[in-house]
Amino acid sequence: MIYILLLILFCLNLSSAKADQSQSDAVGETGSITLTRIYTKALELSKLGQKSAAILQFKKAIAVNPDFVDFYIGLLNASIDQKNWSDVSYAVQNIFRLDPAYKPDYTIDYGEALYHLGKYDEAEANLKTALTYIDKNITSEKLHKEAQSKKDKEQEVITKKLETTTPPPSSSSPSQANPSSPQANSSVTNLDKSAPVNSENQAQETPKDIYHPAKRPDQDAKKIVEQYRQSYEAALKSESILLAQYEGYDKTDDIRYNHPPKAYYHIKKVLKGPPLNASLPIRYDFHLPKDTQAPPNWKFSSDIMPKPGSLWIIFIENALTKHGMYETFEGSYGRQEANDENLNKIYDLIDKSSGQ
Amino acid sequence: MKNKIVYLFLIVFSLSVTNASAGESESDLNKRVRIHDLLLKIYLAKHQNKQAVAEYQTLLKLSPNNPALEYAYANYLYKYGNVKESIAHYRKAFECAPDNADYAAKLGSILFYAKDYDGAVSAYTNACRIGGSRFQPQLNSALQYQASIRAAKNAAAAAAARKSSDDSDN
Repeated sequence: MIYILLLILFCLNLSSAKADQSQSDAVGETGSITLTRIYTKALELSKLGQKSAAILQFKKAIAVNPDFVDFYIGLLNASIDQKNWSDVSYAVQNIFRLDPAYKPDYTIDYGEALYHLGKYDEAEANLKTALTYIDKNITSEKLHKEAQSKKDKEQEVITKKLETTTPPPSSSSPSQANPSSPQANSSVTNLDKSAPVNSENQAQETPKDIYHPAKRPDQDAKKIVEQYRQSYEAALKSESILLAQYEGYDKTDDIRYNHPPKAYYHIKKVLKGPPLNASLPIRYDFHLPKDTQAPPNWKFSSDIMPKPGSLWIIFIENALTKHGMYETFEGSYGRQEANDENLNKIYDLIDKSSGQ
Repeated sequence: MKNKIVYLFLIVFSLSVTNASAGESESDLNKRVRIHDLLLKIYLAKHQNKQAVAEYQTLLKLSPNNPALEYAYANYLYKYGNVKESIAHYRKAFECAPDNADYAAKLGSILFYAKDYDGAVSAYTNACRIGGSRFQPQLNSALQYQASIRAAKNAAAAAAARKSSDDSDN
C-alpha cells in the first residue's frame, strides 16, 4: 500500500516538475528565459519556506535586471519572514523607485524596517504617512489607476502641444505646395536645425507630413516633454509640497556638481501631502536631472547656497528619504523661491487641483 | 489549553466586532494596530512619554480587552509612578485573562506595596488558585499583614470604646 502511494506521489512530482520546467522556459513578463527561470525558482523556494535560498535567487534576478519591480516584491516578502530588515529597506526603496503607486502597500513595511535599523525619525515619518493612506482610503490599486489616467492625460497634453505649437499650414498655400520655395524651407529649418537636410526627401514630403506629431523630429517632442516636466503643473504631482525655511548645509570636502550636499530646511507649512518631520534634510541638487555635465569652471562655494532664513517652496516627488535625504522634484527645479509670484501660482494650482 | 483557545477566540471575536462597528475592513484595522504598535516602540525607545501614553491609549481603543496590552500599559504607568491608574489596568488585564496566575500575582504585589492588604490577599488567593503553591509565600505574608492591621484596628477600636465608656462614667 505504501509503495503504491509513493509511486503515485513520485508520478505527481514528475509531472509537476515537467510542468514547471515548461512554465519556466517561457519568456514571461521578465522578457528573458533565464530571468524567468531564476524568478520562478525564487518563488518556489519562497513557497517551500526556504527563504534564505529564495532571497539569493531574487538578488540574482535583480543583478541581471534591476528594474523589474516583482523581483523586489519577492525579495521583500522573503526578507520580512527572515526579519532581514536591511534587505526589506533596500527592496521597498526600489519598489517605490520603480512604481510609487505601491506606497500604500509597503510604507508600513518600510517604517518597520527603519525602526529595526534604528532610524527612528524616518520610521516615524513613514508610519505616519502609512496612517494617512488608511485614513484617506488611498490604496495602491487606486494610485495605479490614477497614474494610468495621468499618463494618458499627459500624453494628450503633449500631443496637443505638438499639434498647436506650429500649426499646419493650409495645403492651398502656394509656398507649401512647393517645398523648395524659400518660405517653406525656412519653416523646415526652424523646426530642426540640427537635422541633416535632404533636399530629395524634402521634395517628396508634403509640409503637412512634416508638422504631423508622429513625423516630427524626436528632439522637438523631447523638448516639449522637458518643458512640461519643468513646470508647476508637473511639479504639482509631487507627493509633498512644502513651504520651508533654509537653515544650512553639511560642509564636507567632497561637494561636487554631481555630489551635492545635504541641506537642512525647516518646514513652515505643508501645502500638500503627508505630515513630515519639521526638520527637513534635502539633497541639494545643483542642476536638472538631464544636465549632468558640469559647466566649465564650475566650482562649489558657499555663495551658491541660499541665504539662511530664506523661504522656499520645496517639491518632493516621493516623500521617502534616500541616504537620509529627500530628493526634490526634477533636481534643482524642485526648490523654488517662495516669493509672492511663485506662492500665488502654487496656491492657485493647488486650489484648482483640489477642486477637481 | 482549552481556556487559552476560548480566550483567543474571544479576542478575535471582540476585534471583529469593534472592527465591524467602525466600518473599517479588518486588514485596515490590523494595519492600524501594527502602525501604532511600531510608533509606541519608537516613542518608548526615544523616551517620549507623552507620545507613548497616547499610543497606548490608541492601541487600547483599537484592540480593547487585550490583556497583554493592558498589562504592558499597567507596567509602564507603574514605572512612571502612576500607581492608581496602573492598578486599574492590572485589574483589567486579569479580568481579560482570568486564567493567568502571573497577572493575578502582579496585581497582588502592586496592591501589597500600595498597602491595600485586603486587595493583595484576594489577588494572591486567585494567583494560588490558578497557579498553585508558587505564590503561597506572597499570600502568607499578605495574610500576616492583613491580620496585624486588623488586630491593630481592633485594638484601636477597643481603646476608643474604653475611653468613651470612661468618659461617660465620669
